Amino acid sequence: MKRHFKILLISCFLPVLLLAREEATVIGTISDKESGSPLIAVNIYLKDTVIGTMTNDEGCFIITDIPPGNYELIASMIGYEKIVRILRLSPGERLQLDILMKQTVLDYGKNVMVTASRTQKYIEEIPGSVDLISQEVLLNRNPQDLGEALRDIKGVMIKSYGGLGSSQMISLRGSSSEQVLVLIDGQRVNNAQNGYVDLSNIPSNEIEKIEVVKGANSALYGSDAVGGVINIITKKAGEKDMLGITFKGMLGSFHSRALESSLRYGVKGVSLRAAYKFLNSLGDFPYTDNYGSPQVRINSDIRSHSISGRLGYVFSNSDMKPGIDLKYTHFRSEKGAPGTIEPYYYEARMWDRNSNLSLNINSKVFDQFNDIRFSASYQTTYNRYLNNEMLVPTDNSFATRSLNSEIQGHSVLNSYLMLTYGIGEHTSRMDNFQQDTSYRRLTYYAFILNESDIRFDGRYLRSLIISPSIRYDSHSDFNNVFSPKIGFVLNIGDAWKTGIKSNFGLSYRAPTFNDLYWPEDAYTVGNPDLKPESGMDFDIGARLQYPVLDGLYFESVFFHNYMTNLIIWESSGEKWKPDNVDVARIYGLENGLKLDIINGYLSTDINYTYLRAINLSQNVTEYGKQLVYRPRHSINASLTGSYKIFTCQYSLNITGKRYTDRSNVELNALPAYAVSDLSFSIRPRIRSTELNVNLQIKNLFNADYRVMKNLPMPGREFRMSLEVQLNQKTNKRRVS
Amino acid sequence: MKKLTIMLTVILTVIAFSGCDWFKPPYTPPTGADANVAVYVLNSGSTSISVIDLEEDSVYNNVATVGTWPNQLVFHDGKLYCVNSGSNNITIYDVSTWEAETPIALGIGHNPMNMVIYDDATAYVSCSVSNKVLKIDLDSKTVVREMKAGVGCTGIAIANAKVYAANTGYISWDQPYMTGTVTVFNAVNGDSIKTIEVATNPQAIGVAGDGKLHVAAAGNWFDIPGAISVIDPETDAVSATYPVGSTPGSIAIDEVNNVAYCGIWGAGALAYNTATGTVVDEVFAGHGGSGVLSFDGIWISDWDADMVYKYNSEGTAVDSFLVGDSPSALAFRNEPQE
Repeated sequence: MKRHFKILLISCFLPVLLLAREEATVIGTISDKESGSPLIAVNIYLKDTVIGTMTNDEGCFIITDIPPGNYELIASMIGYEKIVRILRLSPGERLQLDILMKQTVLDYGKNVMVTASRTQKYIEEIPGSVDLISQEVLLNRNPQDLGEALRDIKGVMIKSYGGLGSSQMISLRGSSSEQVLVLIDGQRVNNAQNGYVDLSNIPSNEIEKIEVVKGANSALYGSDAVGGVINIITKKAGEKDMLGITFKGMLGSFHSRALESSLRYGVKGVSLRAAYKFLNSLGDFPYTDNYGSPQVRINSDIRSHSISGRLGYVFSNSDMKPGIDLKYTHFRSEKGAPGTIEPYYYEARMWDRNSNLSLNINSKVFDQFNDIRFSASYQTTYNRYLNNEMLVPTDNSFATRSLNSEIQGHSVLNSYLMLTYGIGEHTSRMDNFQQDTSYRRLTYYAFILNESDIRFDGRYLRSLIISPSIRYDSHSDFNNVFSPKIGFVLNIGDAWKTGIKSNFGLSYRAPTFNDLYWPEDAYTVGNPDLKPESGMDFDIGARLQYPVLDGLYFESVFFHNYMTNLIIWESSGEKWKPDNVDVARIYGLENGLKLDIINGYLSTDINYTYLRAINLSQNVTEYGKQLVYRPRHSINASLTGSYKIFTCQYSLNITGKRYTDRSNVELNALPAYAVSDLSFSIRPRIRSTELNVNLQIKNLFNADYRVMKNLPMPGREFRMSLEVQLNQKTNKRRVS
Repeated sequence: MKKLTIMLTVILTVIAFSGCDWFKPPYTPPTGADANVAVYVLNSGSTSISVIDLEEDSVYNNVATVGTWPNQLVFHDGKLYCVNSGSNNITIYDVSTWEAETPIALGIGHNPMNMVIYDDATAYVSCSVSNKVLKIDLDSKTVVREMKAGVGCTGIAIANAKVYAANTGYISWDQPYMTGTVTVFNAVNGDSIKTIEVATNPQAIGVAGDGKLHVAAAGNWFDIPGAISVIDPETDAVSATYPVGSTPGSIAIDEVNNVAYCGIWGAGALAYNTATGTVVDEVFAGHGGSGVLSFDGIWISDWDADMVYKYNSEGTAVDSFLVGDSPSALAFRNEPQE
């Protein structure tokens, strides 16, 4: 078999070999070390040169026209450990290499690729603090929305307003919800009207993975990336020569049910994907009110629909591999808006509609070391809130429209100059239908990032990566902003890998349309003179990746963010008005331990975050106090056991005491709580059909707790889901 | 197996500790908060109460917490009542121990604003969403009668065995105020007596030394200035209207000097002579104004500075106290021990 393979390999590249003269050539194959199957699309390049290629469908590669000399050949691929070979090539030499690549044991931290630096990079090569929620984790947790998916990440606080479907806001490293930038496939989705993203409006069924990038990132992403960035990467369109259909149904407590379906198809460079999700829940869970009486949380129902469609095309006959990706998503929901339990709104309703159309065109240019990508997206949101139980009956409708377009380039000149650069524009518009007013913001920006990868030949020192970046944003309705950042990573050791990393950067959050233009009435008025909120962020941490037990990964990061010009609505004479008055200092320590106790069978993941978020405003009763809803201590732990088709996961979330008012009155503080979840999964495969039966018990011990004041959370909750995934090869002759 | 056992033990220990009481230590109010001569301060931002002990000249902050959107404090018979608009209830505290009693639940959809106590057993509460006045039995802590008032029922007072409830007439930000009115009820049985038209946007009612009711109307915040409508309880008719201007939102009356102080947010208070309507000081204090109280001087709450100031009748600050976050309403207890 191996002999036949070599004959095939030589015959494939014979014409090229005949043309080669004094220049050297490297040919070979790359295969999976365990299974021996050829690996497709492995990147192979000679370090510090622009010479390289990728493996073809048979796992073969050939690099020609190599000047004689000494080189470092690098082979890399997502999910596999990087391979480095030293080559000494003589004139006219034809060297054959057969490389075996080993799959990464841990899917976290080690050889995992992320797009936190706007291009695909190994997680160990970027200075930023990044957590990844993989598809495997999503399958085990079976979340219904983005908030449920993000809950267990260190440094993340999900401010949940209740049960399934209720609003959920995110805080990263003690930031406000408006200071977290949320991206879907790289496109910002923060609402221009109020600045934040309600995570309950992002269904989880089409999420492939989530990258949580903590710390200031305005140097790459512009406004709102003060606490960090949540980048949601959605599922790609169908695989080549494959037809896939998925159905999933969920039944749960409090009259919850969901139905999902998706269709995937790929043929001749064209790939398609279509998906639909329906969610309905009455949300009528029991709770205990503030005076000890049992109550039922009525008017907290939700009914939502989401659809998405994706079309991809790759021009496979071109060496530059240009590709087009067109995607459309639409989400609509109607939900009860009971507010807090004091006051309680029994009939208030809320409607949301979000649509997004995005286009990505990418290609290599000149050679495989230069990429260019054009992306554009058009997003609309509509929100209506109806409440006749307030002092002033309210029927507010707002709509926003935003258009993003960007050209991004990536050029690898050598290992010291790996540039990512781009320009773009972002237009936002908000319409207030009650007052017949509209506001518009236009932003132009340019950014550049360089990554210098300095490799060492020493026994312990492996590499030093230095990554400076800067971005300039020009806004039509407030000051222009420069956002610089610099980070470095020092990697030490081989089997006992240790990484030291640090970042320093400036970030900002744009004032929202509400802040700037809130229409003047008897009590409130906006402030068009607002400046953006500013953050000065620093972090330093260590990452250990040691062969203890069957694999240990430990990360500890100290972070510090000094925020100024924080926008607070306060009384100014007779009216409430926003102003840049607050200052805050947020610092803390994030610690994460992942351990494979028995490789492939039992693993654990424990995170602990210490957070001090200190209000430095001039108000004497608030100065030096902890910002509201920022717990000093939070712990997330999970234990996952797997055996053949069975998976069981226990997860625990402990959140410390949180103050609910700015002067930190102890009597108002919410007590710490501990919530446990348990899930069982069975994933049998019958020929080409994959099944996933999942049983979840959320809040296993029926804890009575509140994340936010006067907003009770559900007690023990059962969810059961069944997923059927049918996969069918569409080109059997080719595959065989 | 040993590893698994250790891991499970650690996790179960964490769970066990997480349910323990050390997460929420018990609270005891500070000694001295049971002062017999005191001013009580409602801290709206921290939804708490501060006690200014006038005998010891000291302050005890956040001795108790109240409900959502607290609006008014009333002291009566050793108890402090707090009207919570958002919670739709009245929380009650024994000021000697600061233990909270079972609140008076008013029912949904009322948005209670102010209360007045008629006798030891009866109180009346004005409600700005339901546009009603609720008659409360303080012994049973129940609503015994709901009486229809006007739109935006807010201020309330008792005089001559009658309940007077001021109706602001506020509908929404894009509509003009309706005519301001005061609805009059029989304080004994709660029967409606009549409705009196007053100045625009009546917010609060005070009773002067001559027994007349002074209705502080804030105007429409734009082109209609504030005014005081004086109601004679003998005739239940407006006997005088004082065009004092500004935006009076609360009122405290110094019966000794016949001067009324209307809280003006950000400016302190506006002072006028209750007999003549002559404005004696347009900008009394010059700051604060989220609460005003007449008790052995004039007390002004300053929302932004988290301070409560005491002034003499000449307008000189004689004392100041750092209280809780965003102080607003004030009440007093004057029961010095023999």
